[in-house]
Amino acid sequence: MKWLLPLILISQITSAAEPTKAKRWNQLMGLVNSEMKILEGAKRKGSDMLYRMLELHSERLKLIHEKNNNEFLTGSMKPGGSRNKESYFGETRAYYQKTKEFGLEMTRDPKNPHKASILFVLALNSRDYGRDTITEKYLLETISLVKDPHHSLRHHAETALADFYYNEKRYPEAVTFYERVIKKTEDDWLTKHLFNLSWCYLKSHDFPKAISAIRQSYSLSKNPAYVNIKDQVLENVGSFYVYAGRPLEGLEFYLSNEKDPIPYLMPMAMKASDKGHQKETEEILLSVQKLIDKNEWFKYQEQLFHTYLDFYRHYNRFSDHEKTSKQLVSYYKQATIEPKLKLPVVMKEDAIEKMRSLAGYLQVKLAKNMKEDKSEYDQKEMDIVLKFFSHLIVLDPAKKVEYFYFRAETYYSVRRYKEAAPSYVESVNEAKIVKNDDIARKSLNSLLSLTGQEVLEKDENRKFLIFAYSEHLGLWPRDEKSELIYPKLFEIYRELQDDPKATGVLRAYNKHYPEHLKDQQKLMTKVLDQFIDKKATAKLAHWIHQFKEGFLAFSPDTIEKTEIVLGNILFIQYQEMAKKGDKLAAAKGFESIYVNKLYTDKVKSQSAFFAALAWLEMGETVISFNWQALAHARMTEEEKLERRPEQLKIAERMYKLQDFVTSFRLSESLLKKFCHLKDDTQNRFYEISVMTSLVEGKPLVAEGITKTYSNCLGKSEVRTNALAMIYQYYEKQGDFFGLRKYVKNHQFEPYITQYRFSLQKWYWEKKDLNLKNSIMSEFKELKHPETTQWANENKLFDQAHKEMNEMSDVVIWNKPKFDGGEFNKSLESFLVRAQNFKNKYGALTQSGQVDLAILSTRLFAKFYLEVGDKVQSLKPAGMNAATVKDFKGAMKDVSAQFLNASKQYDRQLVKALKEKESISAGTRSIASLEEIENPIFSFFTGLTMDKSRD
Amino acid sequence: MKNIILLSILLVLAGCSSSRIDRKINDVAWDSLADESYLRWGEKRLEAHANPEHQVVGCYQGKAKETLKQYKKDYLTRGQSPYYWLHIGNCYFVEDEWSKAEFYYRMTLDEAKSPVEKSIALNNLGLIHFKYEQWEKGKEYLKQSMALAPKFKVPRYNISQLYLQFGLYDKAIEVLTDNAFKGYKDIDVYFSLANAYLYKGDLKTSAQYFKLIPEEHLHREDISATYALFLLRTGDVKKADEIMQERDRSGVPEITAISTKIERMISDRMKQE
Repeated sequence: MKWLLPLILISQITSAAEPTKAKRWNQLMGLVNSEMKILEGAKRKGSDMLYRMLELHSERLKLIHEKNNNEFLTGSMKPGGSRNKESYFGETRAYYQKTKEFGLEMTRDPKNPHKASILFVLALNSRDYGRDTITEKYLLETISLVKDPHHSLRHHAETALADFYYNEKRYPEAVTFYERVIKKTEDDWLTKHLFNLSWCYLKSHDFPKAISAIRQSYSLSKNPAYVNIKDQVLENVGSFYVYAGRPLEGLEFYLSNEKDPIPYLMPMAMKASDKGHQKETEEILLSVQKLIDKNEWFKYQEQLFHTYLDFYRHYNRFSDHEKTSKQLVSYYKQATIEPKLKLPVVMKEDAIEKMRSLAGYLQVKLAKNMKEDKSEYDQKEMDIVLKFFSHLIVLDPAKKVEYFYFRAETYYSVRRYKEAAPSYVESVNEAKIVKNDDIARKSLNSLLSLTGQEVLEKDENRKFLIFAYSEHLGLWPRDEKSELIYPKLFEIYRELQDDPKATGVLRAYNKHYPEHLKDQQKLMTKVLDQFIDKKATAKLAHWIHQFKEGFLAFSPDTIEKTEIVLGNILFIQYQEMAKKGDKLAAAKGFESIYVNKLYTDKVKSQSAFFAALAWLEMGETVISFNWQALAHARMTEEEKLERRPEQLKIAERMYKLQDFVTSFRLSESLLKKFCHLKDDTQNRFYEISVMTSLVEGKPLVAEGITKTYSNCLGKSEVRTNALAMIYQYYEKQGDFFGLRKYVKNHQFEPYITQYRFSLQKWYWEKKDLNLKNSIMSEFKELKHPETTQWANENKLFDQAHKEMNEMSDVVIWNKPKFDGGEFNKSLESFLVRAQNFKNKYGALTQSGQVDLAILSTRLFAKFYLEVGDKVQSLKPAGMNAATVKDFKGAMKDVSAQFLNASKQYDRQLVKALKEKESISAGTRSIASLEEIENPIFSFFTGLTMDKSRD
Repeated sequence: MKNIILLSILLVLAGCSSSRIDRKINDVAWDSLADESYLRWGEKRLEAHANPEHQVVGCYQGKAKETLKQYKKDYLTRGQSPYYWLHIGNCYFVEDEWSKAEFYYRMTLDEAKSPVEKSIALNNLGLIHFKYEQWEKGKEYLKQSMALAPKFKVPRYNISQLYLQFGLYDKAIEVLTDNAFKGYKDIDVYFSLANAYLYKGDLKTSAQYFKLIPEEHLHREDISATYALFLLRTGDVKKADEIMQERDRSGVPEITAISTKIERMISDRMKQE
């Protein structure tokens, strides 16, 4: 709403003013019309009345013109006010004609005493409102009609005619009439006539008279009797002196007559300058400066500087111009810094323009000179131009960018490329700050043109070319020129091996021109090649990450190939180390790759795997396993599958390296992981798992493998073999309970049968009575005809043993007195018992249990020996000598049968053992001396072999 | 808790105790099997022979773990040789780790290219089976070993020990008097023959072989026990008692039991006399 207030005020002011002006006009017109109406109403009109009517017509004409002029001014200010000026003054012209005709009608009366006045009125009306050329004529007629030289009408007519001639530039005729006019000293306007006369003299090149007239006008203006036109005189007298070729007199005039002549001296100085008075102008300006300094009239200083600038410009004193410009710059600076001084700052724009203009002029001149003469230019002018731009930069900071650009262009125009290039850079940088795209583009284009000429030293040229390209891309990332620049800038960086920048360009190229993807991929490939050449693994790794995140949409195949190359580069040095034997360093190297955050999972998994291999080669199987686990964690399923055959070899290597536990861990984990494959590799993992667990004495773990993973096998016989191995393990270890449980879990052949015989063997071999009892129970529990029989036989054998011992204690005859009948009864009883023994246990010697058969045979041999000995050694008390002899003979026969039988058993046994080379518990237990076993035990006296003699 | 720890320690100690007779022979002249086995080599001989080329010697010097560790490191350079696997097996054998020993003997057999190499592996596998009391199987391995390398003495000696143990004295005498042993002196061969003849009942021949055994070796508990039995048979109870008194106690339970029986027998005889 604030803006409404001044609008209303303006409206009020104008609305108040208009009625006043219109009112006055209406009043005057009303007065004229009233009087005219009265006069027209008169029946008889005399010359005086008619002359009055002419005056009223003239007054009305004046008012009409005033009105028309007002309409013209108003109309021309309106929008679309393009009407012909004359069209506004139609009424004026018409009324002029009417007035003229009215006056001329009056002049037809030869006796009209007002004829001179009428002609004077008609002359002035013609001058002011008409378009005819009767002014001079009517004024001359007026003068001729008024014979009295002192008559006021004649003076007015002469004055009017002098002014007419003056305005028509008919100066000699004007001089004639002004010289008459000035003689009338009582005229208030004498000062004005003298002033006009001075001009007429001046125009007629009569400079002394001109100066005299104007100085007279100046002097009379001091007289209150005359109109004071001092200011007009002062404004022009300086020029008069200049035109007269006496500018220093003009200076003297002003200095002598005016307290503060500066307002007049500076125009005069310019006039003097224009007229070629260089030296004098300088003197005038110096005087002005002195006045300013003396009186501290700093309000003039700005103008004086400008005058100096114009002066120097006029005389092509460019160096002085520049110096003054510099002063002016300081002046404006001071005006800003010290506002108390109230230094005027009204011509700053003008100052800028002057400096710009001159700098531009000189710039063009320099360029032109360079074109004309390819090697020469004015160094001084060049310096001036540059200084101007420096001043302008300070003075006109808003356009600093232009001056930077102009400065660069100036350097360029004179082929000072070394300076031009950084100046363009400066210009571009400033253009960016002030967001002046036009200058930025022009500067960059020029810089591109410059660098295109390759006139700078190679590195410098490339530096600026990079700048130009980079800035261009930065300012107009999608632009016709930029589209071409991207690959070029990329190439430069690539050649410089500055891959961060090269790839940065590529990234921007891709962002703004995704449609050029194929080209960008090609460029990126070049960078990758460079990385590969330089073995820049970190960089390769970085870019693989970028590709994986989608940069440049490389195919998975390409990315993988890159990863492989990276891996090869990374690994080769450590592989070389390993080859040379420094396996620890190699392992550490691979580990360092793994822990490096830069690398991808693929590379890490490979490095971890290689570390695993290096550790394996050092025999560090557990560490190797751990690294394999780390590798696996980062492998894809495909990679894991690819590594499987290699890991099989590792598992094999591990047990070869005596680490069955780790070999088991690896095999079991892979067996589980790839169970579904059911191929030879899986078969092998299965075998290793079972074998290693058995070697480590963990048959239950081996059994667990067969239970859990037999479905992972491609061949059923692998399981069969594994089960056999486990069985053999228990058997070797003599683990009765383990074997029993195992066979119960695997109730099928051959284990059922094997189990029976294993138990039988253990029964005879083991000395642990508890074990023997357990085996006997097991025989019964198995409820197999064989085991049942074996159990019975064994029991029978124990009985036989017991019974034989009992029989050993039997005393056939120990009575003090021999009684043949009793004796025979006792002997018979013993022999019957021996017979029963044989009948009862004799079958044991034919047992299917080899050990039992041997032991039984040996038992019978012993039994018969004991029986034979017992019978043979009978010595009945109380028997006479002859009977004794017979008795001994009879007993000998009896005992001989037993002893022979004993020997026969022994012979049979020895023969059988020799023939069959029987190695059994039975054989061993009978191999004794004095019932003492042989101290030789093959399991601790046997020798392992380490070598051959060869 | 303390009891548990103590028990564990005792169990460990019991497990570690080696049931082995010290059969080390310092004088190589009395070791006819020296070219085939380090098992009876005395410390000095082993020490003199210890070098990277005979790495396995370390295992016989009580440094089995270190030696095995070294074998791991040597896998790449030596792993192609069947002897590499054989010696690892022997180290485990020395350490009483039969499963592992057997495993590496089988590896040796797989890797072996020549009959000699196979023969060695088979001999050692035979012994492994003895450890498991699988006498027949062990005997078969030894027979195969002998068949592949008839000049080898160790398999013959080993099978003789089996024969002796199982009362096949003639067989034992047959293999120990084979040409392979001709021209050699050997404590264990003489002892085995003395033993065979003794058990066979040929005291005269037995006496001849006992006489061939150097005095200091008669203190070996298995020899002392056998010799004492011989002396008892010949009626020299006093000498038998002296022999048993001067014996080096092996700590092997089986031998200790036999020695106890003999001592009891001597005691009984001495009482009778």
